[in-house]
Amino acid sequence: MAKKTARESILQEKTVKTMKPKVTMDQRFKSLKNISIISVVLVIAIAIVFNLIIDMTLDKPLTFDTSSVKSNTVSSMTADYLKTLEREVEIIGLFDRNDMNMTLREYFLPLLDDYEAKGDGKIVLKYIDPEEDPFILNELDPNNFYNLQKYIYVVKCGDRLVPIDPSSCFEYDADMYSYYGAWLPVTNLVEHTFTGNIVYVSSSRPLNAYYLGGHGLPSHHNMDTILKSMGFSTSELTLSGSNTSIPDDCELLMILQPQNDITLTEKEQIKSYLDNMGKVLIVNDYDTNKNVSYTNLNEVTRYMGATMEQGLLHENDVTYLKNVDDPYSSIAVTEENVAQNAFLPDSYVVEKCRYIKMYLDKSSNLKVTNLVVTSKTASIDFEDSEINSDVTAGMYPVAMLCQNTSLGTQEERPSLLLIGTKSFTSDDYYSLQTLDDNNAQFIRRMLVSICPIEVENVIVPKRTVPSYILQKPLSASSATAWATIIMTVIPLGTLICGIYIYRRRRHL
Amino acid sequence: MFAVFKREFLSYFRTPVGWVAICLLSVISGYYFTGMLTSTVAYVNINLEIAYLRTFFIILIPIITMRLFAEEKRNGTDVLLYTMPFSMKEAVIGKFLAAVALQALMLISVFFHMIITVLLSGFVSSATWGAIFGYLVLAALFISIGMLTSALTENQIMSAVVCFVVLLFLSMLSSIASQLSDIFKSFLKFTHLFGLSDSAIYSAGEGLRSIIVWFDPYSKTDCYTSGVFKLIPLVFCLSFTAVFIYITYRVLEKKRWSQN
Repeated sequence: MAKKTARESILQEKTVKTMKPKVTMDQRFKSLKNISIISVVLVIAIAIVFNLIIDMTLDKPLTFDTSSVKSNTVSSMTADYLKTLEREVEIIGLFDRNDMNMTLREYFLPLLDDYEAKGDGKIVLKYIDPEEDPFILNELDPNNFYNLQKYIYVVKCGDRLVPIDPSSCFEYDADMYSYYGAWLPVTNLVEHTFTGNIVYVSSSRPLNAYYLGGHGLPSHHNMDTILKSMGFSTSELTLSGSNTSIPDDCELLMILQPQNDITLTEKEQIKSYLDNMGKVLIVNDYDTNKNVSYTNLNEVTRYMGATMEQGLLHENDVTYLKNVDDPYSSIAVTEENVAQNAFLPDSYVVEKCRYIKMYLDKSSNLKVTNLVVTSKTASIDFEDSEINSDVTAGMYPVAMLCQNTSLGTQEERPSLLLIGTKSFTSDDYYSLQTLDDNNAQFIRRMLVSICPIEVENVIVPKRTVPSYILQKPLSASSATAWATIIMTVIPLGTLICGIYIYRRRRHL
Repeated sequence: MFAVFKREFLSYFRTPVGWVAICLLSVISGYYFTGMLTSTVAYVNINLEIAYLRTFFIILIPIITMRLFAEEKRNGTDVLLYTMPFSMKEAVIGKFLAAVALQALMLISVFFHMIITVLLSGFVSSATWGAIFGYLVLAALFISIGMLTSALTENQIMSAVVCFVVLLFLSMLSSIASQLSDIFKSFLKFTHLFGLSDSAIYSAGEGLRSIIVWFDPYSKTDCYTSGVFKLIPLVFCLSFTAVFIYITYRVLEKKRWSQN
């Protein structure tokens, strides 16, 4: 009994001994599990915090431009200008930053990040998708002057705002467009455009535009609104009595629908103003003043290479007519060569347009460009049927830009914008339209192009866009051969190699 | 570690996995490249090809990683891993490096395309190398995720499916963030919680979106394809790669101890 008890006690002891390590293992396993969980949580937390710290401190200093033409870094001219900025400028991209549908985004996103980095807090870069935040469009442009849309950039400072269409920031290969219909960028103007517009919106210098008074100036409320939205302040200027000179601060002189001819003094003043890098807009339609002879005004336009005639444009192409019964109310289009570079709207409404044309005896240093033209089958109606002998059916200008190329730089040179219809400037027209209409866009863009405010002080280089077009285009047979090698020979070769090795080694 | 790396890397080519993966990527990249080569304008930009290839990670990474640990379990060789005279860390890192090396080798078709482009007087920009670098960094992150799913599951198919789902989720993170942000904004607007104004609700929604998008590895590494080298995406991918490798190591350690 005693032996049995001893054996039992030994067995019991053994059981206890074998139990003990199991308990220890469980505890070790549990503690290992706890350590694992805690350490994993800790490691994840450390990784997140570490990334956040790096994100906040080292993002901008440790960003390098690896592009071949350094198109992701602002030039020293822009960087120097940004250092002198006194006012905050907002650059707002009207799309989601991660939106891959934004075309040519690689030329904008990194460069604009660099603007922000070098702006020393004066450049604020935002991306707001109007589909996500519909209030933003109204907030930026309450009067809908600019017809802001998704995928457009806006540069804003105080009340001044400029919309930038990304596609307008490049020059395109004309051959590629004419042969293949493809818009292939060849020159990168992104920095050029953005810096120019930052200079423009942040400029504190007042921009003065004057209407020439004393000749039955029509109401110009809408034109005022357009000009004010561009940063101009407007006033009327009468060149008579004691005041016979155009002020030095005049950025733009406008002669809108004069009811009578200008005086000799005015003519001389305007010519002298033009010689002094002046910019003049003349709108002289046919409707309200067809019997007036504009001898002096015509001398001014001839001085710049254009002339106004006593004829009325008659559109013969029915597809260009707004109303088939009215050949004087039509659609005009941007001249083909201009359209490729100027990013103007395609078409405009034109009513009762005066016959304007290039002056044949113009000086050779005058460059005259037709901006807006009729169809190729338009003609001219004259009051006096005897003087139409030299006019045949063809394409006639509606708006022309005349520049004196012998004076100043490209941005400075004297410019005359001559328009033969009131549809671009009059309250009559805009009372039935909105200010984001094509005609208003034309006026806005042309005035920006002839009055580049202070941009000439910051010369930003244009950059070439790396061409990914093959210099040695493939023939059809070579292309097929390459496609066969790439798509069939290489993958099949790899696969056959794999099958062979697998079959040889599968039993090993 | 080198022994594990060598064994694992060569094993890709002793089985069809490595060959199939290379073949698959060469077909996909070849399709895109010939598309550019034979287009009317012959516009060949290798950066775009690499950006396109990134969308196929969700298929390629599960194929590469599904067998890393799940197959060891199936073959019963996992015990060897636990008893070999090297640490579990070395085993995990060796396998990870082998998978990354295979992924790098798969890019051989892209190198062929670069050579062809140069032969045809095309332009291969310096940004292309950045794009390749970004591709590999992103691949490393996804391989570490695939390796973790392989360690967590005991079946290769299950491992591949889980990895596929995780990578799909990551590739859709930006759109998921937008959806969640919209839902959050609608919720705040509908319930009038905290009495927030419209602009405050918008900001809150955008804040939520930004937080989620911060974790999106695709948008983070986008800069490499557009000719910008940033440290942030590199740190992000490498640090989270390290995190997933560490978690894999802990999972295997747990399994090792639970063997007893």
